[in-house]
This record gives sequence, C-alpha cells and structure tokens, in this order.
Amino acid sequence: MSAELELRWLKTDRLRGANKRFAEFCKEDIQKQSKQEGFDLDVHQDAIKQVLQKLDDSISIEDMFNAD
Amino acid sequence: MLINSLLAENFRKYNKLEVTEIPEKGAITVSGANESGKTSIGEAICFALFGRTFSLDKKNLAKLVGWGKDLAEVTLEFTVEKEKKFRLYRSVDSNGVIQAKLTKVLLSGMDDPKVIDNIVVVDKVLSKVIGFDYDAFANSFYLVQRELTTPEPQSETIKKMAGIGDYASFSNELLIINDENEEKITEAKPKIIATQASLDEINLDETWLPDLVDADQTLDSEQQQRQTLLNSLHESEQNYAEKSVSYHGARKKRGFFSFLSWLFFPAMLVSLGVWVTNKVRPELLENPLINIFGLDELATKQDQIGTWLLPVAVITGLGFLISLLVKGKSATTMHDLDNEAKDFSKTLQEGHGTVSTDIGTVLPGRVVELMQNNSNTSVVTEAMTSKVAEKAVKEKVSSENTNTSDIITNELNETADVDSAGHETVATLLAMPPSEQFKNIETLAEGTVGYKANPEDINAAVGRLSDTFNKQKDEIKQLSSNLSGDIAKEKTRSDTAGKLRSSIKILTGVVDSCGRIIKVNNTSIGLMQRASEDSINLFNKNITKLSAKTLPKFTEGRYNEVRVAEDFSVQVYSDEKKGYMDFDEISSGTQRQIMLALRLAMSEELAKNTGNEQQFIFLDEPFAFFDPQRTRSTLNALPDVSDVITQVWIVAQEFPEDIEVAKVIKCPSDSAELSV
Repeated sequence: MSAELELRWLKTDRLRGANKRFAEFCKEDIQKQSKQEGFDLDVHQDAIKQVLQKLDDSISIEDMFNAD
Repeated sequence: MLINSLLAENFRKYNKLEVTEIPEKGAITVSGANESGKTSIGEAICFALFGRTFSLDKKNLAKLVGWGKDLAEVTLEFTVEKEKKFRLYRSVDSNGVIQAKLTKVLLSGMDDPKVIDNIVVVDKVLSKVIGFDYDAFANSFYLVQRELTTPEPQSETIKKMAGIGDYASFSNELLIINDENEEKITEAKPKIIATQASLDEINLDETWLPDLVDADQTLDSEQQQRQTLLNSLHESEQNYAEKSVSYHGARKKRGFFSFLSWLFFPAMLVSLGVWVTNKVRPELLENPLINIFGLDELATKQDQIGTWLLPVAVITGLGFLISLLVKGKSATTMHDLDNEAKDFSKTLQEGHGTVSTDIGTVLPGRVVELMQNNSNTSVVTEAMTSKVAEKAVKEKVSSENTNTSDIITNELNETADVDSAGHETVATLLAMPPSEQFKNIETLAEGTVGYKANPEDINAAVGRLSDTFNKQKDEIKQLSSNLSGDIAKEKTRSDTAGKLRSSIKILTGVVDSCGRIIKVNNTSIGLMQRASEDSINLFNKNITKLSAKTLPKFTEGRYNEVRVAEDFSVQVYSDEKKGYMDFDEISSGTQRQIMLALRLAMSEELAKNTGNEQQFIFLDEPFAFFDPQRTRSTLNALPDVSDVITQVWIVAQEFPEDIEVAKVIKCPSDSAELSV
C-alpha cells in the first residue's frame, strides 16, 4: 500500500484556511518523503496530526458557544 | 467574512447610524466632506470586531462615545462561510468600560438563544470565527491610505497572509519540547548503564533458581519414597517369620495329602475292578479265590466281594478326592505366600538399591556440585572442629593409658579423610552403606522366595538397611535445609535482578518515548518548513497572478506585475524597462498604486488562508495619490479584481457619477444621523 493511500484519514474537505493548505501539502509531500531512506510512516502520520491539531486548535465554534 | 448590516448609536459624530441590506458583492462607496463621518464608519466596524480602532487603542476608547453621551454602541451583523451568520454587539461607556456580546443568527433571522457575553470569550470565539486578528485586519482588509506601505517582511501578518503564521511559533515550541526530551534522555542513559552494570554484577542465571527448586522438590519426593519403602520393609520383615511358618506348614500338608492321594487312588481302582469283575464275570475270580481261600470259601468270598468292595471303592475314591482338595488348597496357600515373599524380595532389593544410590544421580549436575561444595565446607568446618577436639581429647587422655589414646586417635582419623589443607573430595552426597554388610543382600532376597532365608538373617538385614535409611534421611534433610538457604538467597538475587530489569525497562521506555517524541517533532518541523516554503512559493505566485490583473488597471498599463521575493521584498515588472524594478526605484505616487494592488492580492491570500471564501475590504481614501483617470480606472476595476474580495468598501470625498456601485453611502456634514 502506498504512503499516499495511508493518508486516507486526512480529509481536506473538512478543513479550511491554512489547515486545508497544510493538509493538501502533506498529501503531495508524502509521495516524495516516502521514497526517502528511513521514512517512518507512523512517525510521519503522527507529525502531521500534531501540526493539524495545533493549527486547528481543535475546539469548534459550536463547542465554544455551548461552553459559555 | 461579509458585512450584512452596521448599526451604531452615539458613536463618534453619529447619534444614530444604520447601514443595512449591504450587498455581498460590489463596490460600496462612502463619500462626504471632511468631518462628515466617513472614517467613523470604518472605525465602527473595526471597534465592533476588535474593540479598538486604527487610531485608538483600548485605553482611549472612551473617545468613541459621542459628545455629551454616556454609551456608544455598535452592532455588526456578518456572515462567514456563506451560511454562518453572527450578530456582534460591542459598547463602550464614557469611562472606557467595554461590553461585548456575540450571537448566532438562525436561518429564520432570529437570534440563537445561546449568547456569549463574556468579553474575553467573545474575542476568542470571534478570532476563530473570522480567522484573523486586529493586526492582520489592519494590514490587509482595512487599508488607510496614509499607512499604505510595503509589508514588514518578518511581520506575523505577512506570515499569516502566506498561511504560515503559526508555523514559526509552533516550530519553536517543538524545539523547546525536544530540548526537554533530550535532557530526559541524557539523564536516563547513564542510569541505564549503571543499572545494567549492577545487573551484570548479579550475573543471574535464569535457569539456576528453577534447578534449585526442582532439586528441593526431588529431595522432598525422595524422602517420602524412602519412608514408604522403609515402612514396607518393616511390615514385610515383621510378617516374614509368621508367613515362613505358614508356608512350611502348607508345604508339609501338601506333601502328606499328596502321599495319601497316591494310596487312595490305586485302592479305589482295585476295589472297583474286583467288584465289577465279580458282578459281570465271576468265573474270572473263581480260580484266584479258590487258590487263596479254597473251594469251600469260594461262595462266601464272592458274597463278601459283592457286599463290601463297592463301599470300599467309594470310600477310597472319596479319600482320593479329599486328598486332592487339601493338596490343592495347600498349594494355593503356598503360591500366595510365595508371591508375598517375591514382593518382599523385590522390596528388599529395592531398599538395597536405594540406600546404595547416590542422591546426586537424580539431581541436576550443577546442584550436585553446589551441594558438594556446601558439603566440603561443612566437612572443612567439621574437620577443623575435630582437630580442636582431637587436641582437647589428647590433652585429656594424656594421663590415661596408651590404648585408650590410640583408640581415640584412630577414631579421629576415621572421622574424615581430610588432607593437610583441610580439604576433602566428597564422591557422593550420601554416606554409602559398607558393602561388606550388604554383600549377602542379594542372596537373602533370593532366599525369601520359598521362605528359604532365615527370618533372623532377614531381620538383621532389614535392621541394617533401616539404620542406613535413617542416617541418609538425616543427610537428605540437611541437604534440603542447605538447599532452602540457597533457594532463599537465589530468590533474593532474582528479586533484585527483577527490580533492576524493571528499572532498565522503565528508563529504556523513557528514552524510547522521548526519542520518538523528538523524531515526531523533528518530522513536524521538517513538514512545516517544507509547507512554509511551498506556501510562500504559492503566495508569491498568487500575488503575482492577482496583481497582474489589477496593476495594469491601477497604473494605466505602465506596470504589469508585482513580485514578492522569499524575503518578502517587493519588485515590480516594468513593460517599458522590460524587467523587474526595486520598489524604491518607483515614484511615490505609483508606489501607492502598486501597494494597493499588492495589498489587495495579499488580502485575498489572507482571506483564503483564514478560511474566508468571501471577504470584505475597507479602503479609506485609497486614491489620495491617484490622478482622476487612474481613480476612475481603479474604481471600475475594484469590484471584479477578485473572486474572494467581493465586498469592497471605498471611502473618498467624492466619486465620479458614472461608475457602477453596489451601494452608496453619503455621509452628511450637517446631521448626526445616517440611515441607508
């Protein structure tokens, strides 16, 4: 299975702004990175999730309204 | 983000400001003379969104309250992502106290009952809803001509425009986390080495404790088997004499009745034969009877034969049968006793075999070696004790006769064969029985079959075996006790090794975990660096592409393209010069036109990177340095230059009458109210 297919969980249509652009970049970038020696898919996926989580800030506007 | 309506009360010069039904697309012109309140409209929008204006920070907001009024209020209704509509209320009183409220507007046009009225939370939610902060807004969607300058290359705003705003700060956070994890690894590694050294020092053999436990269980089992064997020997020995008598009695009985059967059988045959002959062929008996008894007695004898010989035949036949029965019963008794004797013989041989077998042969070799070493130590200790005892005894008996002294010396010499260094080589783990005492055991065992062996000899042999058993039992008990001590020691070592291994596992886990965190973080940093380069390239391409649409219109075709370098410095392509020019090579008037084109392009990028598919822009006096022709050209071009920046607010003293606009807002010089 190609590394690109392994990123099926990364749904860019659910994202917006810089997050969406980053996710789209990751989908392209993994094709190059997976050919590098020592490429670790798990580490790569965790790294992507980490950045997305940071960029997204995870709390939805809906949650923010409900929390107040 | 698009503005749907703007309402204000007591804000700057306006007692009441109402701008409603604002179109999503097109130019919205705000015109009026000096101090007519044009800029106040932009300030109202800015205040509602960020609680400050371009000219007033949060400390001076009381200046926004209209003269002689107590409270200035602004309500802004806006849409994000097409269908999400919000109503934002913000007020400031004459003391500068600000309040804010954010509500979602339902599709029905009614306010959602969930309202956020905590000002901190409102600002937090708002930042997420619109995707940009005041700095980004002031540097893009809210352009004031006098501030229209080149973007600061390293500013957060320009990074946000390029979609890399959070990358640098997040990368720094990850680097700090990496340093912390490196520190943990640096702390853990020496601990692992030290713990491993301690573990190596223990040099635990994982198979040693199971061997010891196995040996201990074997000794225990051996003790039980020996006790069972000993009990069996004693029992058989006690019954041997009695059974021997029974056996020999049965043997005599069998001999006697065997003899009787030999007598009865021919007697029965003769009696029966004579009687039958007399009955069937009496003439055959006449001559013998006449010869024996004479003719005169013939008839009498024939009568007697006919009368008596049949009962005699019956009686002798019965006697024969009884003899056979008794003989058979005796033979059975003998057979049973003989079987018991064979069992006893077997037990005896087994007993001899057991006492003659070294316990070491059923234990693991390494355990035997350990036991022998323990035994040696014990012998050494005993030997040393003996030497001391010998000296004492010799001293004691020195005054007694020589014979006694010799006997004691001999006994001491026999106690143990200890060399001058006090060492003894122990061949076996148990004291073996003296072979001369048991040399007849095989003969005795064979003699028990048929009870040929003398019961006294048997008693003596079992007694010797029992003595040896008991002696060996004590030795096994001592070995078992020593072994228990070794097991306890080995368990302690094993527990210590287990704890050390556990520590190593935890520490290794920390190193691995920290190592992985560092690896993931470095991968994240690498990803962000590449994504950043990609975004900047894309940003520059988009800027060039977008500015190519606007710049010729703003500059009447003199300049066609803006290029932003990787360091965000600006260069402009001149058709006349057929090449890129540095920004400071261009006249200041044209610089403003270029900057407007550049800012529009950057604003579009910012909108895209903050998730705003449609965005308003507020241009306050953008044409101050434009000549009338470029102003007209720009005004016509502005509403259509971008698919994203669709709602274009333009502030100017006046606008040409013949340009197409979506909404016209004329600010009155002589009134404090405006409603459009």
